[in-house]
Amino acid sequence: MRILEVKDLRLGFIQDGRIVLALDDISFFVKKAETVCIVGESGCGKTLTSLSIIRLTPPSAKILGGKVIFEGRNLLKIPEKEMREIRGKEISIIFQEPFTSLNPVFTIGDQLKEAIYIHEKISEEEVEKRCIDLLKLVGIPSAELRMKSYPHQLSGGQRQRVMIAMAICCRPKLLIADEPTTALDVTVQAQIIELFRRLKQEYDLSLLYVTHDLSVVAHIADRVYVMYSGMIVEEGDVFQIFYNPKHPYTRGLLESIPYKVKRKERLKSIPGFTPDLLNRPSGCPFHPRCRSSSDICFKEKPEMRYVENGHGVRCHLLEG
Amino acid sequence: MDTESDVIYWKDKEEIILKVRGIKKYFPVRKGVFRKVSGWIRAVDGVDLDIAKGKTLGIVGESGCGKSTLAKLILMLIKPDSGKIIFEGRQIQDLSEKELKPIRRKMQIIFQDPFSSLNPRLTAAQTIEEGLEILGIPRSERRKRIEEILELVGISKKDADKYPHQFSGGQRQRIVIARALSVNPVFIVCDEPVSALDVSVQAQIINLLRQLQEELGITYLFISHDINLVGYMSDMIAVMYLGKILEIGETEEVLKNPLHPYTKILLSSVLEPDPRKRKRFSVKGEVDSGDIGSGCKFQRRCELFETDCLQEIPLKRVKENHWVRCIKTKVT
Repeated sequence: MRILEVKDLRLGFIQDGRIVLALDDISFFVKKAETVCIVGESGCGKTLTSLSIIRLTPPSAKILGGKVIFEGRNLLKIPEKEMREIRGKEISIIFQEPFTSLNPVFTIGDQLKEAIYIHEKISEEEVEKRCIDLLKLVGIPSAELRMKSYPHQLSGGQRQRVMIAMAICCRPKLLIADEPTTALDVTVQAQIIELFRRLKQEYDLSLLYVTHDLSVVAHIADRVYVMYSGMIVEEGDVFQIFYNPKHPYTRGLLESIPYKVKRKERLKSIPGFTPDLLNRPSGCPFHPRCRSSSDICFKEKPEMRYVENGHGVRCHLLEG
Repeated sequence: MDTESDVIYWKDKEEIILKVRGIKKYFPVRKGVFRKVSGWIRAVDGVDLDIAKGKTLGIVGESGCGKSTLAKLILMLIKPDSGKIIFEGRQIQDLSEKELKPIRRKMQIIFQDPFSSLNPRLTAAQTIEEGLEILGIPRSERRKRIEEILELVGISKKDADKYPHQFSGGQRQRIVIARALSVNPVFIVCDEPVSALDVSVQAQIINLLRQLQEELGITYLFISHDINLVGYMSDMIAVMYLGKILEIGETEEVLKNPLHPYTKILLSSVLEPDPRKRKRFSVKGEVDSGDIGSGCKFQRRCELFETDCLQEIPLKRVKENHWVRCIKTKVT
């Protein structure tokens, strides 16, 4: 069952009196209890994509077309009041920066409770108990005491755990996590990833995980969408993407990781740099950096073609 | 001249360019209205290091382990509380700013963030020219040299008169590297040099650093939280935790055969970009902060802890190319 389906989402920015297309025909879906990763580098539009699902895009961004279907409803068409009911309750989001996402003048407990009160009418004791249970669940030691702590009294990893607790406090059906471990140390990152795995098991949670880190993707994803400059260039299950990547960008990205590379060898790199979303190259946006691009690549936008069950590639040079 | 001949960690035949002995830096923690010193953060707590010429020493550790403070101490950007820094055979820790000046140009640093480490009002050429001026290269020859340096780091000479904001992140980091190279340094500290860059661009910069080492014989101190990357870059690797080196040795040996309980945890937390190598992790444990009393810095988190761990523990040689600061490690 598809819990979320984004179809041909197009989003543009108004700039100097014209519209610049930033997200170009984004289509993907998340099934129930599935972990889907959107992977891409800075400026590829991955955060913009996750924000458009819950309609929190910046005012200068305009959705030009497409659908975001969540449990049968098109979220782009419902009134704001209904959307507010969905945010936090049905769909939650966790951002990268655990330092700026918490309010510094309220205690952890106050902020957690508020998140529950907004959506549910339950007694104070019940809320208190649920908060403590949540903090325990996300692995915060001495949870009762921590309820009275302020964000600055917690470490980065603990703050991110609080954010996760807050995101799951109303048992959402879909959790969107946008680079939730990027600001954290490796050992803490490993713990947070383990936490996501457990939460998924216990809560039957569907997870949309947005990241630039392929090692994280390898670890948690069921399916992967690779994004480049406002376009999904490849999609497939995690094994298809890691063992049989078809798009030159996906290949280049995987090869540029210094993993199992001998010291004598050079790393393989992708020439050039990642383009700005407001300045996307024509045709296939990857063509200026692609080693095998031809005329058609800068003229025409490639369509998604499926090479295998569920494994799609947007590349003109794909054989067959 | 320095008389200490005991070279640690490197093979005898290597020429040692930098020695650090027992270096310490404590920062005061102040509290209350009168800002009374209530404790000390032992950012670097007695570190001994050697770096051989033309080689790379990698330092890994998590935030707060003191790796960046160590880098600043080595470059004399902050003054150590105690200990010696011996650069090219000369003790530099007590030199005056004037005496340091000729030494400073031989040691350069590349910071993490290429966005804030360049002067936005200077073009690429002007940025590099500052270094050439310091070297006393006559104005008439500078332009040629600037173009040579830019070519070396892979920036087209037609971009020489552009400002930092006109370059991408990766290109800016190339200019930072070019600036460092402009004074002909022999030693460069790379403090998280690619962490702010996109994955596809990181490899370009890493390859550039390797190429410069091969061509110019530059020595690197390479600091990063990315263990795969440090493993690829370094000849030798040191693991730091709360201001102390817990383990040091030849890169391959340390990564294949980690001995300190902390190194083991650190390495096992590294995710591999391979979906067939998924791991389970413990969800417990956090990097300690603040002041750990005497003894092993890892005492609070260590599963092998026993009372003897509260004593001062020396860095012990367990193999020809491997040292560990742990009493539970047997010499093999």
